[in-house]
Amino acid sequence: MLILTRKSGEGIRIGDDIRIVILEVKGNQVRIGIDAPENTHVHRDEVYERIKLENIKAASATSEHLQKLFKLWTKKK
Amino acid sequence: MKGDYRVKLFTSRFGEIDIEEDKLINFTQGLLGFPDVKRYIVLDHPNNPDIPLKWLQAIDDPDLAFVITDPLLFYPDYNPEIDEHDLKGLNITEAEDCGIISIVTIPHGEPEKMTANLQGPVLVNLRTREGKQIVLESDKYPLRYSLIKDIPVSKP
Repeated sequence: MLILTRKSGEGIRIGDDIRIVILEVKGNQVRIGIDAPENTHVHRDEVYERIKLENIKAASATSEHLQKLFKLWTKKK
Repeated sequence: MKGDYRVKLFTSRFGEIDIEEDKLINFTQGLLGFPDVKRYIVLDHPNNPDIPLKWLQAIDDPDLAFVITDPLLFYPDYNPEIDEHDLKGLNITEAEDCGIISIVTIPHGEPEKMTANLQGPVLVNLRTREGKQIVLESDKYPLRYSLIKDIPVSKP
Protein backbone atom coordinates (compact mmCIF):
# COMPACT_ATOMS: atom_id res chain seq x y z
CA MET A 1 0.00 0.00 0.00
CA LEU A 2 1.25 3.44 -0.93
CA ILE A 3 1.36 5.70 2.11
CA LEU A 4 1.49 9.49 1.82
CA THR A 5 1.42 12.20 4.47
CA ARG A 6 -0.90 15.10 3.67
CA LYS A 7 -1.93 18.26 5.50
CA SER A 8 -5.33 19.83 5.63
CA GLY A 9 -6.03 21.48 2.26
CA GLU A 10 -3.65 19.21 0.39
CA GLY A 11 -4.78 16.59 -2.09
CA ILE A 12 -4.02 13.42 -3.96
CA ARG A 13 -4.60 12.57 -7.61
CA ILE A 14 -5.45 9.05 -8.64
CA GLY A 15 -5.14 8.64 -12.37
CA ASP A 16 -6.38 11.49 -14.53
CA ASP A 17 -9.82 11.97 -13.14
CA ILE A 18 -9.93 11.21 -9.43
CA ARG A 19 -8.92 13.88 -6.94
CA ILE A 20 -9.03 13.52 -3.18
CA VAL A 21 -8.62 16.51 -0.88
CA ILE A 22 -8.11 16.53 2.88
CA LEU A 23 -10.58 19.18 4.00
CA GLU A 24 -10.21 19.09 7.75
CA VAL A 25 -8.42 17.15 10.44
CA LYS A 26 -9.98 17.25 13.86
CA GLY A 27 -8.86 14.86 16.59
CA ASN A 28 -9.19 11.37 15.13
CA GLN A 29 -11.60 12.45 12.38
CA VAL A 30 -10.65 13.46 8.88
CA ARG A 31 -13.01 15.10 6.40
CA ILE A 32 -12.23 14.15 2.86
CA GLY A 33 -13.51 15.60 -0.40
CA ILE A 34 -13.60 13.38 -3.47
CA ASP A 35 -13.92 14.39 -7.10
CA ALA A 36 -14.51 11.37 -9.29
CA PRO A 37 -16.27 10.62 -12.56
CA GLU A 38 -19.97 9.74 -12.35
CA ASN A 39 -19.42 6.07 -13.03
CA THR A 40 -16.85 5.69 -10.25
CA HIS A 41 -18.61 4.60 -7.10
CA VAL A 42 -17.34 5.95 -3.84
CA HIS A 43 -18.49 4.20 -0.69
CA ARG A 44 -17.49 4.16 2.92
CA ASP A 45 -15.41 1.01 3.23
CA GLU A 46 -17.37 -0.46 6.14
CA VAL A 47 -20.75 -0.05 4.40
CA TYR A 48 -19.48 -1.76 1.25
CA GLU A 49 -17.85 -4.54 3.28
CA ARG A 50 -20.98 -5.07 5.40
CA ILE A 51 -23.18 -5.57 2.36
CA LYS A 52 -20.63 -7.87 0.76
CA LEU A 53 -20.42 -10.04 3.91
CA GLU A 54 -24.22 -10.10 4.20
CA ASN A 55 -24.43 -11.36 0.59
CA ILE A 56 -21.97 -14.12 1.38
CA LYS A 57 -24.02 -15.09 4.43
CA ALA A 58 -27.27 -14.97 2.44
CA ALA A 59 -25.78 -17.23 -0.24
CA SER A 60 -25.62 -20.12 2.22
CA ALA A 61 -29.42 -20.47 2.44
CA THR A 62 -30.68 -23.94 1.56
CA SER A 63 -34.07 -25.25 0.50
CA GLU A 64 -34.38 -26.86 3.94
CA HIS A 65 -34.06 -23.44 5.57
CA LEU A 66 -36.92 -22.18 3.49
CA GLN A 67 -38.98 -25.29 4.18
CA LYS A 68 -38.61 -24.62 7.92
CA LEU A 69 -39.68 -21.05 7.33
CA PHE A 70 -42.81 -22.11 5.52
CA LYS A 71 -43.77 -24.18 8.56
CA LEU A 72 -43.32 -21.15 10.82
CA TRP A 73 -45.32 -19.05 8.41
CA THR A 74 -48.21 -21.50 8.24
CA LYS A 75 -48.26 -21.77 12.02
CA LYS A 76 -48.45 -18.02 12.26
CA LYS A 77 -51.41 -17.75 9.91
CA MET B 1 -35.82 -14.41 -31.18
CA LYS B 2 -37.33 -14.00 -27.72
CA GLY B 3 -37.78 -17.20 -25.81
CA ASP B 4 -36.26 -19.30 -28.58
CA TYR B 5 -33.09 -20.00 -26.74
CA ARG B 6 -33.32 -22.39 -23.86
CA VAL B 7 -30.59 -23.62 -21.57
CA LYS B 8 -30.65 -26.51 -19.21
CA LEU B 9 -28.93 -26.02 -15.92
CA PHE B 10 -28.27 -28.52 -13.18
CA THR B 11 -28.51 -26.67 -9.89
CA SER B 12 -27.55 -28.02 -6.49
CA ARG B 13 -30.82 -26.84 -4.91
CA PHE B 14 -33.43 -27.49 -7.58
CA GLY B 15 -31.94 -30.19 -9.78
CA GLU B 16 -32.29 -29.66 -13.49
CA ILE B 17 -34.06 -26.50 -14.57
CA ASP B 18 -35.01 -25.11 -17.95
CA ILE B 19 -34.10 -21.51 -18.58
CA GLU B 20 -35.49 -19.23 -21.23
CA GLU B 21 -32.92 -16.70 -22.25
CA ASP B 22 -35.31 -13.76 -22.07
CA LYS B 23 -35.92 -14.48 -18.37
CA LEU B 24 -32.29 -13.93 -17.46
CA ILE B 25 -31.16 -10.89 -15.51
CA ASN B 26 -27.71 -9.59 -16.39
CA PHE B 27 -25.57 -8.04 -13.68
CA THR B 28 -22.57 -6.62 -15.50
CA GLN B 29 -20.82 -6.01 -12.18
CA GLY B 30 -22.17 -9.08 -10.41
CA LEU B 31 -23.38 -8.80 -6.83
CA LEU B 32 -21.10 -7.55 -4.05
CA GLY B 33 -18.75 -10.39 -3.15
CA PHE B 34 -19.63 -12.26 -6.36
CA PRO B 35 -18.22 -10.03 -9.11
CA ASP B 36 -17.71 -12.85 -11.61
CA VAL B 37 -21.25 -14.19 -11.52
CA LYS B 38 -23.16 -12.09 -14.00
CA ARG B 39 -26.33 -13.95 -14.99
CA TYR B 40 -29.21 -14.88 -12.73
CA ILE B 41 -32.78 -16.05 -13.00
CA VAL B 42 -35.68 -15.66 -10.55
CA LEU B 43 -37.29 -18.95 -9.53
CA ASP B 44 -40.32 -19.79 -7.39
CA HIS B 45 -39.68 -22.08 -4.48
CA PRO B 46 -40.81 -25.58 -5.53
CA ASN B 47 -44.19 -26.49 -3.94
CA ASN B 48 -44.61 -23.11 -2.27
CA PRO B 49 -45.13 -20.45 -4.91
CA ASP B 50 -47.53 -18.49 -2.66
CA ILE B 51 -44.96 -17.44 -0.10
CA PRO B 52 -43.44 -14.01 -0.78
CA LEU B 53 -39.94 -15.40 -1.12
CA LYS B 54 -38.26 -16.42 -4.33
CA TRP B 55 -34.81 -17.54 -5.37
CA LEU B 56 -32.28 -15.60 -7.37
CA GLN B 57 -30.41 -18.48 -8.97
CA ALA B 58 -27.04 -17.87 -10.58
CA ILE B 59 -26.64 -19.29 -14.07
CA ASP B 60 -22.87 -19.15 -14.17
CA ASP B 61 -22.54 -20.91 -10.82
CA PRO B 62 -25.21 -23.59 -10.27
CA ASP B 63 -24.39 -23.78 -6.55
CA LEU B 64 -25.06 -20.10 -5.95
CA ALA B 65 -28.56 -18.85 -5.13
CA PHE B 66 -30.05 -16.19 -2.89
CA VAL B 67 -33.44 -16.02 -1.25
CA ILE B 68 -35.05 -12.76 -2.31
CA THR B 69 -38.20 -10.82 -1.57
CA ASP B 70 -40.14 -7.73 -2.56
CA PRO B 71 -39.19 -5.27 0.23
CA LEU B 72 -42.41 -3.29 -0.23
CA LEU B 73 -44.43 -6.23 1.08
CA PHE B 74 -42.69 -5.93 4.43
CA TYR B 75 -41.78 -2.27 4.45
CA PRO B 76 -44.43 -0.35 2.48
CA ASP B 77 -42.66 3.00 2.98
CA TYR B 78 -39.36 1.70 1.59
CA ASN B 79 -38.22 4.35 -0.82
CA PRO B 80 -34.43 4.40 -1.10
CA GLU B 81 -32.77 7.31 -2.80
CA ILE B 82 -31.12 5.97 -5.94
CA ASP B 83 -28.30 7.89 -7.58
CA GLU B 84 -29.02 9.30 -11.00
CA HIS B 85 -26.02 7.51 -12.48
CA ASP B 86 -27.16 4.14 -11.13
CA LEU B 87 -30.46 4.61 -12.95
CA LYS B 88 -28.63 5.76 -16.05
CA GLY B 89 -26.27 2.80 -15.84
CA LEU B 90 -29.27 0.47 -15.94
CA ASN B 91 -30.96 2.51 -18.70
CA ILE B 92 -33.94 3.11 -16.43
CA THR B 93 -35.92 6.05 -17.76
CA GLU B 94 -39.45 5.28 -16.58
CA ALA B 95 -40.44 4.50 -12.99
CA GLU B 96 -42.37 1.43 -14.10
CA ASP B 97 -39.20 -0.09 -15.59
CA CYS B 98 -37.57 -0.13 -12.18
CA GLY B 99 -37.90 -3.23 -10.03
CA ILE B 100 -36.43 -3.51 -6.57
CA ILE B 101 -35.43 -6.72 -4.81
CA SER B 102 -34.06 -7.39 -1.35
CA ILE B 103 -31.72 -10.26 -0.61
CA VAL B 104 -32.83 -12.30 2.39
CA THR B 105 -30.48 -13.79 4.98
CA ILE B 106 -31.66 -16.88 6.85
CA PRO B 107 -29.33 -17.68 9.75
CA HIS B 108 -28.46 -21.38 10.09
CA GLY B 109 -30.83 -23.14 12.44
CA GLU B 110 -32.73 -19.94 13.18
CA PRO B 111 -35.04 -19.27 10.25
CA GLU B 112 -37.27 -17.15 12.47
CA LYS B 113 -34.45 -14.64 12.56
CA MET B 114 -34.46 -14.09 8.83
CA THR B 115 -33.80 -10.58 7.65
CA ALA B 116 -33.90 -8.61 4.41
CA ASN B 117 -31.02 -6.42 3.32
CA LEU B 118 -32.54 -2.98 2.83
CA GLN B 119 -29.19 -1.19 2.70
CA GLY B 120 -27.98 -3.04 -0.39
CA PRO B 121 -31.06 -3.36 -2.61
CA VAL B 122 -30.91 -4.96 -6.04
CA LEU B 123 -32.26 -2.80 -8.82
CA VAL B 124 -33.56 -4.39 -12.01
CA ASN B 125 -34.58 -2.76 -15.25
CA LEU B 126 -37.67 -4.86 -15.92
CA ARG B 127 -37.65 -3.94 -19.60
CA THR B 128 -34.03 -4.71 -20.48
CA ARG B 129 -33.41 -7.14 -17.59
CA GLU B 130 -30.22 -5.47 -16.45
CA GLY B 131 -29.54 -5.53 -12.73
CA LYS B 132 -27.26 -3.98 -10.18
CA GLN B 133 -26.80 -4.08 -6.43
CA ILE B 134 -26.85 -0.59 -4.97
CA VAL B 135 -24.95 0.51 -1.87
CA LEU B 136 -26.98 3.03 0.12
CA GLU B 137 -24.59 5.30 1.97
CA SER B 138 -27.17 6.43 4.50
CA ASP B 139 -28.07 4.24 7.46
CA LYS B 140 -31.74 5.05 7.03
CA TYR B 141 -32.53 1.50 5.94
CA PRO B 142 -31.03 -1.38 7.89
CA LEU B 143 -28.72 -4.07 6.60
CA ARG B 144 -30.83 -6.59 8.53
CA TYR B 145 -34.51 -5.84 8.62
CA SER B 146 -36.43 -8.53 10.47
CA LEU B 147 -39.11 -10.13 8.31
CA ILE B 148 -40.79 -12.18 10.99
CA LYS B 149 -41.03 -9.83 13.91
CA ASP B 150 -43.87 -11.44 15.78
CA ILE B 151 -43.02 -15.13 15.54
CA PRO B 152 -41.69 -16.22 18.91
CA VAL B 153 -38.26 -17.81 18.79
CA SER B 154 -38.80 -21.56 18.88
CA LYS B 155 -37.35 -23.40 21.84
CA PRO B 156 -35.79 -26.84 21.39
